[in-house]
Amino acid sequence: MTRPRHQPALALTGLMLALYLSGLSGLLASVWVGVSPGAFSGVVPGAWSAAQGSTGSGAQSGSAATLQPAAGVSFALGVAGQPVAEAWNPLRLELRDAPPATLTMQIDQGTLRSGEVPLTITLNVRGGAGVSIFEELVYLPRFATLGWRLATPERVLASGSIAGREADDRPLDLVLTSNPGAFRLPYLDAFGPGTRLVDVTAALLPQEPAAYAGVRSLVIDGTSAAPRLEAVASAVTGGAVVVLAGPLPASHNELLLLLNGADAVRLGGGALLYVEGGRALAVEVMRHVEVPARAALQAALVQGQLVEPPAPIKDHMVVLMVAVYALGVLLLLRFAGAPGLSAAIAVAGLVSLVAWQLLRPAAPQLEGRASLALAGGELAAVMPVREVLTMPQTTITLDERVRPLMPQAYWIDAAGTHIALDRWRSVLLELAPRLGQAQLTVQDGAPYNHGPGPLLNLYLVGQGLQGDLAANSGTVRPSESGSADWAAPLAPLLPAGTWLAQDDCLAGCTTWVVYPDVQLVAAAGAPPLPEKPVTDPFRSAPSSAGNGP
Amino acid sequence: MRVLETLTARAMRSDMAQLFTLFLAALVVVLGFAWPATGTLANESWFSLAPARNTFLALAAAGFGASQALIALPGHLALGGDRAHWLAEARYTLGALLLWVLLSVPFEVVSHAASYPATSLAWSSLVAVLTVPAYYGLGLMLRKLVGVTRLGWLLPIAVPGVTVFLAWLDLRFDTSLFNPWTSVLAPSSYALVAGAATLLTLLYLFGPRRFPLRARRSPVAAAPTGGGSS
Repeated sequence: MTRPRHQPALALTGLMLALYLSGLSGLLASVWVGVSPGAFSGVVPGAWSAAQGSTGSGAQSGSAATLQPAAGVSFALGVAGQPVAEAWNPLRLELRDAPPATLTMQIDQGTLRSGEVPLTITLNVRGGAGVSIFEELVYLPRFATLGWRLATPERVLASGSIAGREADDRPLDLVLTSNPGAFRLPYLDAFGPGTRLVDVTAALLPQEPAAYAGVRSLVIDGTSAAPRLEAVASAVTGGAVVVLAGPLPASHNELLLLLNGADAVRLGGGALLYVEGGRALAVEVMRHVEVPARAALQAALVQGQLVEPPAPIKDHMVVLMVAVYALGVLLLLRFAGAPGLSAAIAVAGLVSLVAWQLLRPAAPQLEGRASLALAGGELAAVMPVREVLTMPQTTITLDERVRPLMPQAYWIDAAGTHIALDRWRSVLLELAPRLGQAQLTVQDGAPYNHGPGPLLNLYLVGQGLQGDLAANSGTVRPSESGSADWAAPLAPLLPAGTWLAQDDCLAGCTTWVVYPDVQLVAAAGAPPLPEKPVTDPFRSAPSSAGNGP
Repeated sequence: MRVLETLTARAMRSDMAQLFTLFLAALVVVLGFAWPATGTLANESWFSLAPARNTFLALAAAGFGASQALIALPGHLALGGDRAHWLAEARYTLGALLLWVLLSVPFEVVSHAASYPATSLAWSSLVAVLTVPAYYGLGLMLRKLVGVTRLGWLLPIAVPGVTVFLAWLDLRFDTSLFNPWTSVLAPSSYALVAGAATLLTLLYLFGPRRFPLRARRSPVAAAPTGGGSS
């Protein structure tokens, strides 16, 4: 019997064939998945896959729609991978065993009317052995196209794109829970079908207030891992309404420190609430909390010019002066001979010197600054705005993360943000919001100035000009030369009871805005919500796109 | 002192005095029209005045260069004196033209200071200083050329014609080598070309083979308000 002798060899051959075919089928599978449509698309030499994502007319509920074009590269734009157009978004790049590379994002902000308005972002990504995470904050305008690629000088590691139709400027509603589907109906009822409900994990919450510019709310119900205190504080300060839907487990006790014993507090530009009574009540209460409309307030703030352009001399004065000079030179040459020539040369030098001193602006670029500070509690979300006027054609470079308030071509790299400007043009720039110490606080209706300088022209919406506040003082003194005109553009945008003040404007004027205390409408005054909220029965059907329970 | 007197006399001779007056008047008019009206923020006056000034200087220099009888006529046939006299005349004419550059600097400074262009004042000043001898040498060369070809009647047309032709060359090939209008607006290779032409002109006028400047004082040049031909 020779047959048994060949069995090991046959088995080995069969095993090798099976391994080979499994690899081939894997490759085929990856290609098949790759050609399926998705919200984002990524292309990587060798293999790529489409990201999961969902779009629809109803509320979306999905996990991070991150682009995962290659096994070693994960690209996510926006909180939990959900980019919000016309807002600051966190950019997160997760690399595994990737060499140092350059991430390039090319965004076309143009429209059919304006043509291409490019924004190019070039960032150096360190990479290295193991997992490395690269995070950055970028402003995402409403775009026509967005493409990105991660490349070394030798090859492209990963790339992808987002179509313009995917640009979504709806704010995000984040839920930090183990049961995200349970929040779907309350959100639909409270905010309508345009809600972007996003399930997020605690680790993905950014710790920078500016990253929450596109976030409307964050609900934490304690059924998942507790987020970091810094992340929640950043979310509140950055302008989101954060609801702690109690009762919370002991692991979340740290978050209660922010409430300082109250049920609702304002911190910076947002508010933090503690609500017990179920998910529906939590969302309903959150819906009634009014937070500052940052974009509108900022627009009102920059209505006037921040830069004082150089005052031009009247044209007839210039003509008169140069005509007198020309006549003087001719007379000197004609009637004074050689001494006249010397005198004419001296006069020419003198006139040149005086004209240079009088007419030449001190610097080629003039800058004006203003800041809008939304104070709540002891924290403030400071949103600086800068205007730059350039006389010569130039490219201005700013170290900070800035973006033009109007669509304009610019580029960002390791050196900073660069904006090419034509002669005698100005540009309004918004700096990324940052966390600051509140200079103006209001306790029990009484304002207090914590800052080093005085606060001038204190204004209470609904009551008018109040006076000035000296440094470290709570005593309002009558304003001697104050005027309420400065608050006129802002007051219509603010609810009654909001305090406004200006600092001494030594380093650009800062306008302080303190909203009135949060009123828990649904919890305090409104009747209790029914057990089962009234909803459209068709909307309660399970969604294929959602992460339901 | 004698040099200054002679220079002043040359500058105030009727041919140069009239053109100098016209030059200053043109600058006043250009500045007046280009200066922004009340309420206008941007001041673009330098972009009109500097090219106009430089072009006027170039044309004037080429014209005065072409009108010198230095090259075309042999010394013994030259009107009113010998070859040394004409050489001195040519040198003082160039000096007077450079005086135009100096005395029109305030116009440039006023417009430059108020306009704040990206181009530095040093560049536009250098271009003006180089343009005058360069185009003066071009005029001398044209005079020589029409003298050799016996086409003297063509000279009044040749001076502006060649200047326009050189400007057209720059526009045609998108360069900035010869055009006095555009060269002043931004740093370019014009300085090299004009600098080389200036060197040749100065070498020709002040070279070692030439007669010394004071070999024979020109009675025409010394006259304070003389009306000598050019």
